[in-house]
Amino acid sequence: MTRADPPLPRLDALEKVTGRANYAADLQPQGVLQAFALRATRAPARIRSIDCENARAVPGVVAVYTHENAHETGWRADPALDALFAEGLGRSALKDAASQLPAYRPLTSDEVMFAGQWIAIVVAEGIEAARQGLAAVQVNLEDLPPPEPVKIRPGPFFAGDMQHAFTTGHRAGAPRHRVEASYETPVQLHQPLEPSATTAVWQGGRVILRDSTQGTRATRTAVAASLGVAEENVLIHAEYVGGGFGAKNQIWPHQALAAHLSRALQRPVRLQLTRADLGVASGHRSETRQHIRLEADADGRLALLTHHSEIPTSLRGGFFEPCGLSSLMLYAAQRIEVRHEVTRRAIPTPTPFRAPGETPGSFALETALDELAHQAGIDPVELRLRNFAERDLYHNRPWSSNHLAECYARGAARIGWAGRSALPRRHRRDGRLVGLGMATTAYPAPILPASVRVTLRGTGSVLVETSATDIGTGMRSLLAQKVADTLGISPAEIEVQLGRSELPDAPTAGRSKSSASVMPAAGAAARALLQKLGPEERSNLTLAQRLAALGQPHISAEGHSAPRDPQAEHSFYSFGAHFVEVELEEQIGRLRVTRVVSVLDCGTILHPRLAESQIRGGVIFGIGMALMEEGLRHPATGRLISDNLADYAIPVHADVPEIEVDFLNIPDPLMGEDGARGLGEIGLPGLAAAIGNAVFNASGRRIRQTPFPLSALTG
Amino acid sequence: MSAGPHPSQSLPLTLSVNGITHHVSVDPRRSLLDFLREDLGLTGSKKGCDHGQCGACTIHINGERRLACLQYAVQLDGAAITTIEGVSAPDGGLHPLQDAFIRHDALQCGYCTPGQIMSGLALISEGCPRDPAAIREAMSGNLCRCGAHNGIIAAIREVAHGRD
Repeated sequence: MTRADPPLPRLDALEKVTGRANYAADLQPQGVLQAFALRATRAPARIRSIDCENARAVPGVVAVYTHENAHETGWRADPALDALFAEGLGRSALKDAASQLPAYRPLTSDEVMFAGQWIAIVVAEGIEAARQGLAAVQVNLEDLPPPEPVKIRPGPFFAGDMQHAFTTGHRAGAPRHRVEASYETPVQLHQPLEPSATTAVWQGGRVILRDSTQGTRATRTAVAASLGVAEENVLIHAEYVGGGFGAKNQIWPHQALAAHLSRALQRPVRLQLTRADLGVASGHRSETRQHIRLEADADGRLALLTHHSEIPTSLRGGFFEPCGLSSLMLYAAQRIEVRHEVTRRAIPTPTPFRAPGETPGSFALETALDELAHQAGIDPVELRLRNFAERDLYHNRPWSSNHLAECYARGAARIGWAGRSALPRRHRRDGRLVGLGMATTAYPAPILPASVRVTLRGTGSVLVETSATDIGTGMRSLLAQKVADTLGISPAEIEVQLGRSELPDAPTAGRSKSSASVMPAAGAAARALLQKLGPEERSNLTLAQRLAALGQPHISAEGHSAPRDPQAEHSFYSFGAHFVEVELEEQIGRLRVTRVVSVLDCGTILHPRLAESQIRGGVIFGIGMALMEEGLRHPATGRLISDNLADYAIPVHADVPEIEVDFLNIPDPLMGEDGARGLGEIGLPGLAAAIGNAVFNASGRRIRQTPFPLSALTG
Repeated sequence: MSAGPHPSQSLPLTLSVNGITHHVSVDPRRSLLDFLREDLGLTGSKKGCDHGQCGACTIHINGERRLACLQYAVQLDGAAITTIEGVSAPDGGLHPLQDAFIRHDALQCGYCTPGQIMSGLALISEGCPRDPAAIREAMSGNLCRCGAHNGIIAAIREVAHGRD
C-alpha cells in the first residue's frame, strides 16, 4: 500500500545528525586493545622470515601474531570454514583443482597469494603503539613465479548458467546490421565511508562483537565456527553500519580474528581496517573484459546476441563477475550465447559489489545496443522496444510484473528525448557539446525467509525486533511504518531494534532482498499480535487498553515470511530506464553529467523519500564508474596502488547533478502483500552506458571502457 | 631501532572542546581525531580515511573548518574546538542545519553526516554562495558514498538562504 500522508523522516536520522549513532569502532570498552594488520607488499611470494622482536619491544605492544604463532589463538585453516567466509563464494561454480584446495586464510601459512595479504597483526595499548609496532616488523619475502594462467569455464552461478547458448523462439529477419566490440571495466572498490572494524569483547565464555556487517546472522555462524564455540555464545551487534555496497556482505577474516584475539588475550580488542586495508581485506569488483556481438535485421530485431566475458579470480577463491547474467534474459534475440572465462591470478578474492555482474555487463550490452541503434538508424528507445522480452526467455517463465515500456516512455518525455538529434554533434550550450543518452536497467527481486518480533508494552508503545541490518537503506523506518500501519497506530509509538544477531532471524542486507523479505514478516508479526489481543469488541479501545484487559504487562508475537518457492512459475525482476544529459568541453575533455532521469518499475514504493535516496545512491555509483573510479595494481608487484580516497576518486558534490527519480509505483501482484520489489542495486546498472551513449550523441565519440579515458573525450 | 617516545613522555595540553576546558596530557603522536574519540569519547567525529581525504572528521578549530585527523592534539594548546556533539543547543534542541538534514533526507548510512554538517555550518558562516554549483564546489571536501549529495546541498541552501 502507499501512504497518502507525507513520508516519515528517516527513523534514525536524529542519532545520525547529532553524532550519537555508534558504529563499530565507536564502542570503547574498558581496557580495549588496538589491533592493526601488516600487508604484504608483493605477491606471489613466500615468507622466508618475519622478525617481530623489535615490534614486541615497542612500549605498549601486547602481542604480535603471524603465521608462526596465530594458532595459539585457536586460529586455523579448516576447509569446513571456507564455505562460511567470503573466500568460499563461487568455488562450487568453478569446480577446478584450486577450488578443492584450502581457501586463503591469513596467518595460516607462509604463502603470500596476493599483494596486500595480511601477514602480521600487532595488538597494542593504543593506536600509536600499534602503528609503531607494525612499522617495526621485519619481513623477508622470497618471490615466486607468477602462476600459470589457467582458464576456467564456470557452471551455473547466481541466477544463470555461465555457459549458455540457446535459441529463444523469437524470429528475426536476415541480419543486416552487425556490432562487434570489446568493452573493459577496471577494478572497483566499494569504499563505504566507514572502514570495516570489529570490536570484540570476550567475557565468560562468550563474545560480543561490535561489527560493521550487512548480515549479523551469517557473521555469527562464521565466527562461531572459527572459534569452535556454540552460536549462542557469539553475539554480533551492528546497529549502525556506515555503508556496505557488498564490502560487508560476505564474512571476512578480521571479523573472526578480532574474536580470537580477544579470547586469547582476555582483553577487549578492536581490529580496525584502515582505508588501505579495505581494497585487499574486504573485497573489490574485479576488472572485466567483455566481447559483445549483435546481429539485427533491417528492422533492428536481434538475430544474435553474444556476450563473452573474461574475468579474474584469486588463486584459491571463487567469486567472479557474472557479467552475462542480464544478457540471458533482458532482450528477445533469436539466439543468445553467453560465456564466461575465469582466470586465476595472484589477486585478492573479488566479491559482490552493488549489482555484481549486471553493472559491468550492462555497460557492455547497453553501449553495444546504442551502437547498433546508430548504425541501423533506429532510435535507441525504439530499438529496445522492438527487442522487448515479454517473458524471461532464459528461464522460460513470464515476468511477475514488467512495465519497462512505460519506464522508457516516461523517462523520454521527462528529459525531452523528442528534441534529441539522432545524429551526434548537433547541440551546443555555452560552447559545450550537449548530448542525450539512455540505457535499460534490470535487477532480480529475490526473497528469503525472515522473522520479526513485535512486543506491545503497557504504555502502548510497540517494540519491533529483527536481526536485519540498516546499512543506510532505511530498514528501521520501513519496519516502523509497516508495523504502525498494520496495528493502526502512529509510527511515533514504535521503537525498532535491529542489527543484533540474537534478535529474530533475517537475511543479510544485500542483493536487493531485505525489504521484500522482512516486511511480510513484520506484517505477520503485527497481525499475530492483534490476534493475541483477542477480538476487538469496542473499536475505540487503544492497544494499551486491550493489553490491560488481558491483565498482562506486555505481549509479544513473532511473524515469519517464507522464501520464494524455487519452482515459482514466474521470474521476478525490477526494471528501469536511465536518461542522461551530458555536456562535453571537447577542447579539454571535461565531461559533466548535467541531468539524470531514472524511471523505475520496482513494484510498490514503500517509502518514496527513502526509495529515491537509495536510487540516487546507485545513480551516483554509475557516475563514478563512468567518470573516475579505477583501482590500479602495480604491474610488477601486484600491489593496489589506488588504495586511498585521493588516488581512487569517487564522486564529490561537484560531480553530482540533481538526480530526478520517478517510480511507476505499480504493485507487483506476486510480491506478497506489499507488492514491493527491492531497490538497492537497480539504480546502478545501465547508468555508465547511458552516460557513454550521451557522450556519443554529444560528440560522436564512442567509449568502450570505464572510466572514460581523457584521450577519448578530447583531441 | 629506537623504541620511540614512551607514553610517559606525554605532554600537557589545555584546550576547550564544545565549551568545556580540558587540562590533559597527551601522547605527542596522537591526532586530534584520536584524542577526541579515544580520550574524550566524542565519537561523533568519524575516521573515514585518517588521511585528510574524506572529510568525515571535519571539526571547527577557533571557528574554522579543519580535519581533525590532520592535526596533532599537542599542537592545539589554547584552541577552541567544536565537534558535532557541540552543535545542538544546550537544551538538546537541534541546530537548524541538523533539522534541515533530517527533512531533506540528507543522509543514508550517516557516517559522513557529522563531517558534512560541520563543513556546512562553516560554509554558512563563511558566507554561503547562492549558486548551487558554488556550494557543491565548497562542499566537495566532504565525501559521501551512499549518495545523499542532493539532500545535503538542499539543506545547506535552505539554512543559508531560506526556503525558495
